[in-house]
Amino acid sequence: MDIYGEILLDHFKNPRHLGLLKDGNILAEDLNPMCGDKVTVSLKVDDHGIIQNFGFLGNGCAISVASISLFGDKIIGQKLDDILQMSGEEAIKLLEIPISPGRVKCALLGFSCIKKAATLHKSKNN
Amino acid sequence: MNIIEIRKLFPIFENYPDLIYLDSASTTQKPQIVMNAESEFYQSYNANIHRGIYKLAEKADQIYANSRKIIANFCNAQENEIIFTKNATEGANLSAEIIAQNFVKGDIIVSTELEHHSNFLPWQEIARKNSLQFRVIKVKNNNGDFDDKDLELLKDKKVKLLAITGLSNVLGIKPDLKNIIKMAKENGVLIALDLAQASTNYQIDVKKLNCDFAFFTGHKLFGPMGTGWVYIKQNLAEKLNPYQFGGGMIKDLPNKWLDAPSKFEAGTPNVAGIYALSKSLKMMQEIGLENIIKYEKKLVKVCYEMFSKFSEIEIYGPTNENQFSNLLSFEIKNIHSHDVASIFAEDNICIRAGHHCAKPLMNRLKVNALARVSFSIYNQESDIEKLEKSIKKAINIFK
Ligand SMILES: Cc1ncc(COP(=O)(O)O)c(C=O)c1O
Repeated sequence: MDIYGEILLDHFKNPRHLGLLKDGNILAEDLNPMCGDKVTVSLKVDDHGIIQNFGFLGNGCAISVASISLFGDKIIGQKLDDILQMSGEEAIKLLEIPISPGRVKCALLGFSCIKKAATLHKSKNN
Repeated sequence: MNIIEIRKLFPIFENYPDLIYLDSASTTQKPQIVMNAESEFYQSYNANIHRGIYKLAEKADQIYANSRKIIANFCNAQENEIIFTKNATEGANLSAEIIAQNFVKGDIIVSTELEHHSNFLPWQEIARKNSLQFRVIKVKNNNGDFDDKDLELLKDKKVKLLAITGLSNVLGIKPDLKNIIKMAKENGVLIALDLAQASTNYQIDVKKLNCDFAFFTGHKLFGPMGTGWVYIKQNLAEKLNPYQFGGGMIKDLPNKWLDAPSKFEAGTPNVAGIYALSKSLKMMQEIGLENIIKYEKKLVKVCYEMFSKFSEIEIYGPTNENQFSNLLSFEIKNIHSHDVASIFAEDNICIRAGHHCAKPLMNRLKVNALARVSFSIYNQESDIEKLEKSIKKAINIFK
């Protein structure tokens, strides 16, 4: 299995959505229990619960950084509620890159942080 | 030591001829004799211990007692000073629970930044629960030396116990136990030693070390997972109360405990596992611990020299050959250690990467994660040649 393919390396070396949003309305932080790498995400969500923009900060392994970058591409334009419904397995599928079981936590670091942000937003608005 | 013969003792290499296992500091591979011993117990001696009155139970009792003798002998303890646990972590938790009953509010427990979480968190927690103070001796450099001023803390009359490792699972260094323990003992401080890594790296003599508690784990000594032991010095064990209650530990109701070790071993123990562990220690004795250590150090030296050829590699740990152990931690510049491990894994090379359950040390070294290779008797120099190829590959991918 060739994990370190072109797409992954490209998103690692040139991550999209790097930097927190100036006009974001949700912020969350999470860490990978395996190595202590930290990530912060910010989301801009409109009144209809649609994700308008996404940004992140943090440095970690290639898999975690590339995954966050890829997730960013996928979630913009999506409903926050749909993200909350999504399982880890579905999130991995969305990435379209091979992830070995030992690296699932790295690949899902960004996703779990986005989910955390979504949960925060929901509890604030309820 | 005949490496070809030794590899034949470990069936995993027959099942995976291409396996390059460089993670023995996490857990060693198991020799056939260990697996045989476990099944031999269940096939031929299976009965509960604790004074059964029939032949099979007597045999099981005898096997358990005899294993304790072998294990006591391994670390130069008396048999009644050996308490079986499921691993080193349980040994530390047991020790913390039973000794904290004797401390009073405000007493100080000291640990160090060099520790694996298993000799750090149990003490931190027991201190929190009992309103004791918990202090940590800082590490001052990548060589794992302690801050001299912090060591002075051991002279404080309030300090009651020092929890310290016999060998760092990250840096592979052995602290200056002789002098540190001497200093602590002069102030009446009890010593809790984590020997989980040390026990594969030098001959352990708990009497010479002058410790009060010491923890060991079987699975790093070629034994089964779920086996371990804690040494508790006899005159201390006599005074301490148990922390788990149930079968096999009481003389009379309501609270007349049996003597150690029984009072600390409530319930049915892992007799088959302990029996198998005694077989792995016997194997180590037959090969000769001196030979094992010498061989592993030689591999570390070869690996160290190979690492040194790469300007991209930073090694964490001793630079002096005399201080080498069976492990080396390192970083490849600009490549996260998890990615290093994944790339190696594609070539069947197994290493550990992450914080190694040693966050206080990682914070001190200012790293989130490190890669670590560790060697055992079944490794060979060709493993290091293959490792070198994979390093080049990793550097190339991330160029
Ligand atoms: C130095 C050290 N202490 C303690 C332990 C804990 O061993 P166990 O998980 O078997 O309890 C380890 C295991 O990695 C270790 O390296």
